[in-house]
Amino acid sequence: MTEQPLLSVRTLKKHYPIRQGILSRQVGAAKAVDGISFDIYRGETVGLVGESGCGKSTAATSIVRLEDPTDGEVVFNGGGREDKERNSDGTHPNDVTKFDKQELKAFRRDVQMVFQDPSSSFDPRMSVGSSVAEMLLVHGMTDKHRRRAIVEDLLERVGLSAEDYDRYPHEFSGGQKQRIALARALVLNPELLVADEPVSALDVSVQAEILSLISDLQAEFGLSLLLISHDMSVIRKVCDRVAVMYLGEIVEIGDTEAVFTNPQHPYTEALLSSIPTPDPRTRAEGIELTGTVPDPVNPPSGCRFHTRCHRVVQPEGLDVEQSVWRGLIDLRYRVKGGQIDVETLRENALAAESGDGDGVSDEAVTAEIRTEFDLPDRLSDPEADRALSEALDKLVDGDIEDAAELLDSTFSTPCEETTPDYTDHGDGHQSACIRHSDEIASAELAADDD
Amino acid sequence: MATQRPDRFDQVDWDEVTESSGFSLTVNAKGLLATTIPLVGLAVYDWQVLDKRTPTFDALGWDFDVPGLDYLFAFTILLFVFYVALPLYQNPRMTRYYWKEFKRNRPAVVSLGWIAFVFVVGLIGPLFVAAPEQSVLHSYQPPMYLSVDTANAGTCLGETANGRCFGTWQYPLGTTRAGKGVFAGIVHGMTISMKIGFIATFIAVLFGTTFGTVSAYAGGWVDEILMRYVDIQASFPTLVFYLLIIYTFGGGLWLLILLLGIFSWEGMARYVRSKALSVTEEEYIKAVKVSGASSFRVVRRHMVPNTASSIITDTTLLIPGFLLAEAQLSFLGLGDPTVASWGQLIAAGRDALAFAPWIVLAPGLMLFLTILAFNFVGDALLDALNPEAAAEAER
Repeated sequence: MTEQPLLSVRTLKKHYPIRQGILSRQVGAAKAVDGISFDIYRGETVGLVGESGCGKSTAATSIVRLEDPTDGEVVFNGGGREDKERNSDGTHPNDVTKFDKQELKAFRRDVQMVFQDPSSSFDPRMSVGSSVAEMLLVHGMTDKHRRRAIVEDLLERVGLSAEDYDRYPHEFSGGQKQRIALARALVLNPELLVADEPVSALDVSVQAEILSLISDLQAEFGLSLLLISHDMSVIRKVCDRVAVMYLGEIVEIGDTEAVFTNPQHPYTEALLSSIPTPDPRTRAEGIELTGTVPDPVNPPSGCRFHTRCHRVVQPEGLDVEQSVWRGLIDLRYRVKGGQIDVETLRENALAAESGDGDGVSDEAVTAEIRTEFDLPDRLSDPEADRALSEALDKLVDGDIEDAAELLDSTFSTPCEETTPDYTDHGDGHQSACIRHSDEIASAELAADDD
Repeated sequence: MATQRPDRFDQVDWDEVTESSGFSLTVNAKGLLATTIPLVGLAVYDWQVLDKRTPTFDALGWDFDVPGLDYLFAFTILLFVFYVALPLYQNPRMTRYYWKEFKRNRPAVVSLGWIAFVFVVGLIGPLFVAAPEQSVLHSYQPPMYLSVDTANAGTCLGETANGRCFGTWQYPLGTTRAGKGVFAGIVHGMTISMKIGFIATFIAVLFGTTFGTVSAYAGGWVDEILMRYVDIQASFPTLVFYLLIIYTFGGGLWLLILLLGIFSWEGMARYVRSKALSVTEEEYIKAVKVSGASSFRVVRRHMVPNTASSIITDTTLLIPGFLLAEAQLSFLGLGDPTVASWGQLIAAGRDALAFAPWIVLAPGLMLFLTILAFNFVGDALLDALNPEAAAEAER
């Protein structure tokens, strides 16, 4: 593309240090955002989607520099800063993360933000008009009447009346407050609007109104928009392009239509399957993600999604059913984390046997474990089955470490070893999944042929 | 202006606006400046031009001297007028709402009336009631309608019957051993109480609010340093320090007020900080930051007003503490004997409690009522000044 993007984010990172001890030594970091890159072109709407805790809000606050990013670059080419060349030392003159105080203040006029919670986004001790007008005052508009005229005009544009200027936030409903929040974000006439979950606190009917208001305003004033949401249906309605985030990384990015019709990353598939379909006759085959989002302090190695992925790749030489494989990986991580309590399982098994005799056989307990992880009594692969049985026996004997080691060595996946690169699927549609790398893809094809 | 400037947000020429931008003051700040500058001028004139004995308004032929402390007192009153009273007038809807909430508490309304009474009488009373003066002949005159054994009273001014001396209107509340009128003492004591209340509170609020909001907003090492300093100061033995200062420099009301103000705000700083911490997490603070506002603006315009409920309620608990502290120190003979405070009056009457209880009772009752009134008002303000609570109830 020859056109210069309005905003381009390059390997942006935001790590929160974790300090311990009296000397506050840094012992680690929560990698909330860990190297994301994307572009926003003029007039375009880009969605950033992901489940809660994946770092999308942190990405937003780092981009607008409410928080200073740890590393990376945010190049903003708006506000009369177009067509600048890179400096000789490789830094960009438009890099927001390196703006000084004066540049930052000018940048504040060009990029504004809408927040999630309408109930706390206005100072309860200020009339909403003053809250909006304060933006103008901060940037040096000392003429009180002019400020008021501008704000009153803007309040009418977002669907309120000029008389609302003097009312206080608690007198408005959530949807109205979000309209005022839009007015506040617009009043400095920005080029880019960052909307952090702008509708997630609202009723569905109000959501639609606010979204269409955003679209109208965007069309009228040529705004670019970065929309952050966990709701795929909102993204689909508004966005031109979408970036899917998981645990601080972008796993898939592309045109909304392409991503929605032809998701390449398993995580996107899972998110898409969570959209409810209005047709009662089509039964949703929801992909259920097992487990919780891993701790960003200590993210999984390789592909960060492999601990929950339903398409986690099997190692060479192993051939079991995919759901069984998923169960095996889950079992492995649970054993490793010491999260399997053999005693409790034994009691459960005892209860199932209706309390006959003075204990249950080890076989009953291993059977219990197998049921819990949806594993069949015998795996189709004899070698894997032998390893599994042995590991389970060790587990029941209380030898957790050996069991974990055995499981680790037998059931390791390529996903945890290689960090996937982005694969291009055409038209800027990219995804980071190891299954798209050549060798794995061909191996899978070969497996499908069988 | 030849052309009407466009009043639409997307037609603002920001280069022009930011270039032309100057310094703008609110009406409140202008008013405060306009009144404070003459005050400072007068103080400087009094201090530099006039010698110590000449009354301040001697040039106008008015024999009225302004003591040094009164400049500070006047300044705190101006602050009160322009930053408490005037904003209430400027935001009539908010004021009406607060008043409606405040009114629910009947004792608080009566208490507010009492405080207003003390304030007004303390402010203008001394212009009408002469300061109590020593007159040994008139010692232990009883209050009006009461009597005292003639053996105890000096020259009885009123009627004497059956060996008892009756009170007169010259001293409606009787006199002390030194013949100082108790009524005049109470009126002038109101002035002293108002001075203590206003000046010490101003100092305490200034420090407490600044420390509390700044440490909450800045966080990190700033927070750590400020709050550890507060801890150190809180463990400082103020009374011993005060005794030491009296011993070396001699006491004085201004010193007492200064020390009360400077060594009393630790609790307020902590209280304000805890409230301010929750305010910093609010999204409107982020929104203001995204607008590019300076930290000063965020703290001054958003943090302080939104912690105001904590500040004001804590203040209403501080003032009674100050009044009591002054009375206690005076009672112990550590106060300023030259000022006619309620505490001095109580101290003067303690030897004669057996036959002249009015000397202690009258100022004691005033002190009791005033402190009670502040507590009632503080309680009602806490309920009234919480729009968040009201907004949550509506949701």
